[in-house]
Amino acid sequence: MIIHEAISVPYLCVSSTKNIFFNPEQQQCPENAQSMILLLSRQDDGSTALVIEWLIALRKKYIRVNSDTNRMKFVSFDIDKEELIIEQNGVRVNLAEVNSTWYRRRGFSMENISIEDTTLSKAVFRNNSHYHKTHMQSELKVMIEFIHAFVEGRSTKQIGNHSSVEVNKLKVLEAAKRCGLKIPQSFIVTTKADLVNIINTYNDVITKAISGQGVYFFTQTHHYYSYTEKIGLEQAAELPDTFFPSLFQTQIKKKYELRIFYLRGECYTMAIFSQGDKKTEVDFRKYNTKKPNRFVPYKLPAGIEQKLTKLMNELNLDTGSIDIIVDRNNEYYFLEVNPIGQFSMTSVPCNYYLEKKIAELL
Amino acid sequence: MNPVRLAGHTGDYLTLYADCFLVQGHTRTMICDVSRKKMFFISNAYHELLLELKTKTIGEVGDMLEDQSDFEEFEQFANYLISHELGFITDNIECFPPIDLVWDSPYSITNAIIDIREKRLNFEKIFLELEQLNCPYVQIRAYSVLSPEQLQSILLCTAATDFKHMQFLLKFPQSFSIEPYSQLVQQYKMISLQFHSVPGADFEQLKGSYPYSDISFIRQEIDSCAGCGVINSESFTLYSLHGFIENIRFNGCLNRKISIDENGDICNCPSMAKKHGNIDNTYLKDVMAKEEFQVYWHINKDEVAVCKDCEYRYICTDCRAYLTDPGNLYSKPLKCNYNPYTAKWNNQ
Ligand code: SF4
Ligand code: SF4
Repeated sequence: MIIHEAISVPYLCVSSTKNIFFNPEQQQCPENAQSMILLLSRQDDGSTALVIEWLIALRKKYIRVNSDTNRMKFVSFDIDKEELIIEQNGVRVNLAEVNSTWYRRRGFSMENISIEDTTLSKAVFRNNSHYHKTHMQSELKVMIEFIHAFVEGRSTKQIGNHSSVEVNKLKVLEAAKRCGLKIPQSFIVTTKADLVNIINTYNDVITKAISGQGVYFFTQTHHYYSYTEKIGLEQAAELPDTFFPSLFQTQIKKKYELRIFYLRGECYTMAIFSQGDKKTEVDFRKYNTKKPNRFVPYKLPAGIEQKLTKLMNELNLDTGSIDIIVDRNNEYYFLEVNPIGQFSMTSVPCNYYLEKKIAELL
Repeated sequence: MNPVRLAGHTGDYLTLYADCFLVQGHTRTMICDVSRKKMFFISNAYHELLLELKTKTIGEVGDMLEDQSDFEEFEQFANYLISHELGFITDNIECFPPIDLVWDSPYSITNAIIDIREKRLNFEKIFLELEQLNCPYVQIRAYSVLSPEQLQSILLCTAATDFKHMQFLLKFPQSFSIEPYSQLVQQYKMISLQFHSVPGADFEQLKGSYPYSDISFIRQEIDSCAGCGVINSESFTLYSLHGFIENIRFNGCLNRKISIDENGDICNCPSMAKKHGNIDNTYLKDVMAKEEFQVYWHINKDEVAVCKDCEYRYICTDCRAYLTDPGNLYSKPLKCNYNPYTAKWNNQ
């Protein structure tokens, strides 16, 4: 956790059309000293560091909590005094001061507030460590939920939220369709016969993970899929007759792919040209370093923007990273939304200053 | 890849990718591929063609050409752009806006130069003030020898700072041993050391002997700030889109820079005649907020004589201290020998 006391320095703002000299009168009022921004992130997240640079420039006070360290400790909670004290790197903070929260990642984790595991198993449940683990985990879950409710309840400003950081891909696809967006034909099947049937009907079929998180085990032989993979009759032949329920979609003949960072009704869109290159033809995340893809700003048709806004409202998301494919007939196919998606990869090449916009909203 | 036949695309548009910028010079135009960091040169006639293509379809532009051979050249040019992945043909050009040239930085000062010779500067005060200005990059140029102990005493003053990188330009001492310096770069992860004025024999012996990039050696003799400001093809920078846009809009060298010369005087850069008070009794934040100080930040190359006709102007860092006409703030850098009217370097 880093607490940064806002320092008062002249801050020069440059608009896109005119050069404005720094003028002390135009300085923004420093935020109320009692207010604090809570950044829920991970240690490795570069975007958080960039947003923090802007928070410092805007003289806003913040505290960053990374879900992947155990350096943060829960200390105490006092209902009467309305004090929820946590400690990180020896500094104690009252989370009641938080009035703005950003869910860059998932939020508080078990790792954050649990006490050292082995000590406890030795001390308390000497002969049934499994029991204590499950018990502790359900206790911690309640605690974590409460801390989220506590800070969210006090946050007058908030980006992202705890309850919708994880979305169900299948529900999202269904909702997208309801909002009037086109989606690829999607099937979940469990038998080779059904899959072969689909491939014979649609020719170009891909498979991807159903759950949001990357890699999952797919065949009995040797395939792990973290990227979207094309699947043909040959690959299908390698499969056992029945397999784990898997998602298959018809492959869209893409002109280019769009990555949209959605933030409070605004779509910051970037086109990704990767078709020229076999390596990235199916999923641009298989990056080609020799000839990097082109990333350029893109203006979505108003109709598509409206449908996306409707979808995000329906999913109760105020921010997220959306993937769309544009096919050769200029049809837009919605693929998925990631509520805690990367945005610097869109912000930097398109010069969108999303890090600054987020810092301003917090 | 098969060549593209324009006849099949008369209703479409030919456009550059937004990260490929056109920079028109007097004799030729540069296409600056900012993402892939490559330069391409085309004739100004093609530059005009590309401007037409912003609003007209391939067919409409084709109709403006005089005869068949012109159209073939057009087709060849289109294929040149497409095969180098500088441009593409599209039927929905309205979806491809240019990159907005807005520029901003969370750092009120982005970089600082501090020169040292004999006078001991108050580094504690300097670093603290730079930290308060949120300055991420600091360069320290020493014209007299700094012993490892002296260097360490300067580094001790960085304790409360969070600089991203500090570059030291150090005078090569007469009896040199790398150990104490390599210990310092290990201890202070954000620093790098470059030794200047390295004698030929030592240079031959040292070059390649130290495996990391945080200590390096150059032969160039640097005995004052007067060595700065040289512009040649090596001094061009194409670092990032953010930097490129800054260079289009602002001064490539002096924007959001603050410096302290060897006497402790505060200035845009040590080579500038105008000083803005001494660090002993002046706050950096008061100097940087002065309109008079910021004037240089805003002089971009579109405003500088000769440079405004140069196709290199958005990757050229500029120099406002050494001018061809010292009386004219907007005259060409003195130490540049490129002539954009002939597209030739005059190498003395
Ligand atoms: S203005 Fe010229 S002399 Fe000053 S730092 Fe820049 S290049 Fe060097
Ligand atoms: S003429 Fe101006 S812009 Fe061109 S290289 Fe020389 S200094 Fe740079």
